[in-house]
Parts: sequence; structure tokens; C-alpha cells
Amino acid sequence: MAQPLVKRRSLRWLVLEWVPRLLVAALFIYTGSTKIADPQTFIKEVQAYQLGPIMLTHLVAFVLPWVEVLTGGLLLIGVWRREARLVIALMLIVFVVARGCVMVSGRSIDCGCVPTDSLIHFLFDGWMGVVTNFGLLALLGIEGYAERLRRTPRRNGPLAAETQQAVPA
Amino acid sequence: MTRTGIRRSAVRILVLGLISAGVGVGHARYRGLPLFPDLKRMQEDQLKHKAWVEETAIELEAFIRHYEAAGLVIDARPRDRFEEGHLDAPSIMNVPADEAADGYHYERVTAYQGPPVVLYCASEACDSAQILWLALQSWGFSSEVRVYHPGWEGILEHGLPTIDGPDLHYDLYADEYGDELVEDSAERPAGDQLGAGSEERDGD
Repeated sequence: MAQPLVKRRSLRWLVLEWVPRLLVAALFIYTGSTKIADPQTFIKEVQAYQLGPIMLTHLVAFVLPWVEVLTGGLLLIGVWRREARLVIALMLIVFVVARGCVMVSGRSIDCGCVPTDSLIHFLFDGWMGVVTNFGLLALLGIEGYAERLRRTPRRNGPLAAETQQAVPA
Repeated sequence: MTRTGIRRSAVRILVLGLISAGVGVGHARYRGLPLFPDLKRMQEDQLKHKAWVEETAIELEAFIRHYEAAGLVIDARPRDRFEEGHLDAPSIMNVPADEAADGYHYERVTAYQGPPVVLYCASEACDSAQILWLALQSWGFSSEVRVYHPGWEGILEHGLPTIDGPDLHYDLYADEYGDELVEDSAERPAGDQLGAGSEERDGD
């Protein structure tokens, strides 16, 4: 059998795959849950951004938290990981753009990512929120790359010849 | 990624979206929340808010005269924000809007009945000052209550003096009166203004 570049149950696998996956999944499950628990506040926060038609703000406020929880859960248990990763990355990009637009326009509104009394609220306050989202994107990238390395056989390993023979011309 | 893989991922993402939408909408209906905003009511609320802002606004110069004359200023932001930085005024206290129902704040604020009071919170977009203003009205607070609507952002923008640290008045009041509630504000020692109290405390 071909040797993967990142072996399962190795320290490298743990650090590159599991840690980023756990961090991102846990954060999204947490943020989604807090919004599900208090939809009225999240509706106001979505409306405060003033991006997009106001008639859709309620729907966005109701659906987005469940997307966060579901994708976080899928990433955590390792089912449909690629799709969960993609959806989370899309959400992060949208958050970064939305937050950036608000900050550039000079408006001072709460991120709406976590409750204001949350211990991690400082991570999403002002420009720090943009930095945090970029950090999460980076973690997703690392996790995806590590998964790819784990599935990719070594080119120069002891079984490289067998792998190359198996690959059709 | 192959075409089959892309198609499979697209289907999975669609399924994810549909499940989220179904559960989200179902949860909203269960909570009795409207799926679409009531635009007419929102417009009415905006007009009411605009009228309230006009009614309670205090101009910058009047605000500066008020706090320089040791008029009471109340910062309605959360306590940690207050401690990070607040207006450096002789008579300032921190009454976070989410603690407005706290009996302790009721006692120490209503002790200042009579002279005008000015509130401020984070910015014009912040609603903490309005929440606190409504709380004061519900307490039967008879003093004139104005709001410096630009809030902390305006204070920084106009270079007003600022300082960090806890609400000294909170500790002062707690040290003097402990857990006992002062039922009659007249029972407070004559001339017990924040500035004088602070000087005595500093002298300890």
C-alpha cells in the first residue's frame, strides 16, 4: 500500500488535521447555537449591517445559524468534510467582506458573531474580527491541505514504483 | 476534482442549504417570529426614535458645560468598556443598560434627583442610552435627562478628557452605605457630592 505524506495517528496528522478542524467546528457550532438561542437580537444585528434587501434579513437571521451549526457538526464528525469546509469558507469570506464594508464606512456596529458578554467577543471586535476570520480561513486551508496530504501517496517512498505502475498513463 | 465529484459536492451543499432553511424557518415559526419584517412598524419605530433623539439631544458645548460644572454624567456602556476608558468628569457613574433593573443602581442614581443628568453610550448606533433613559422614566426620575448621542465615539472624536479605571462612585457608595438601601435621599450627608467624596477618599 502507498505511504501517505501525512500518516494517520501521527503527531503531524494531529496538529495539521484535527486541531484546526476542532477549533473551526467548535467555534461555528458555538456561534450558531448562540444565534439560535436569541434570534431577535441576531435579526437586529443583521439589519444593522444594511447590506442587501431588508425583506430578507429575517430569513438570513433564521437560516444562517443553522448553516453554521450543521457545517460545524459535519466538519467535526468528518462527514461531507469537503462540502462543509467549502460552505464555512464561503461564510467566512462573506463575513470578512461585510465587516470590511461596515468598518470602511465608519459605522460602529457589533459583529453579531457572538453575544456581547461572551468571553471570546474580543476576537470579533472591530478589525480584530476581520483578522480572526482570516485566521479561521487559514486553519481551514491547513486542514484541507493536511487531508489531501494524507490521501496522497509519497512519490519517492519505498512503494513509489508500485504507485507509479498503478497510475494509468 | 472530477465532474462527478463537483456534481456530488453541489448536491450535498444544496441538501445542506435545504435542511438549514427548513429547520431555520420551522424554528422561527415555532418561536412565533415573523418570516419577513413589518416595514410599516419599522418605519414607525424609526420615526419615534428620531423624535426621541431630537427631544433628548444635548449639544457638545452644553454637554461640556454640564460636566465641567460637576453635573451628573452616566455612562450606559458595559462595565468593562467603562473601565477601558470613559469621560474624565467630576461626577460620572457607570450604569450599564443591562443592569438597569438592579436595585443598587436605582438607589445611587435616584439620590441625584433634581439637577439635570446626561447619559451617553458607545455611539449613535448604540441603544443602551435609550434603554437606560426609559428605565429612569419608569423609576419616576424627575430630573431632566438628556443624551449625548455621539457617545464615546463623539467624546474621542472631539478630544474630550478621558480616563480609564473602575467606577469610583460605585466603590464609594458601597463603602459608605454597604448593602443598606437609603430610602430617603435626604438622609445622605449634606454636600455629599461626588467630587468632595473623592477628595476625602483620596485623603485616606
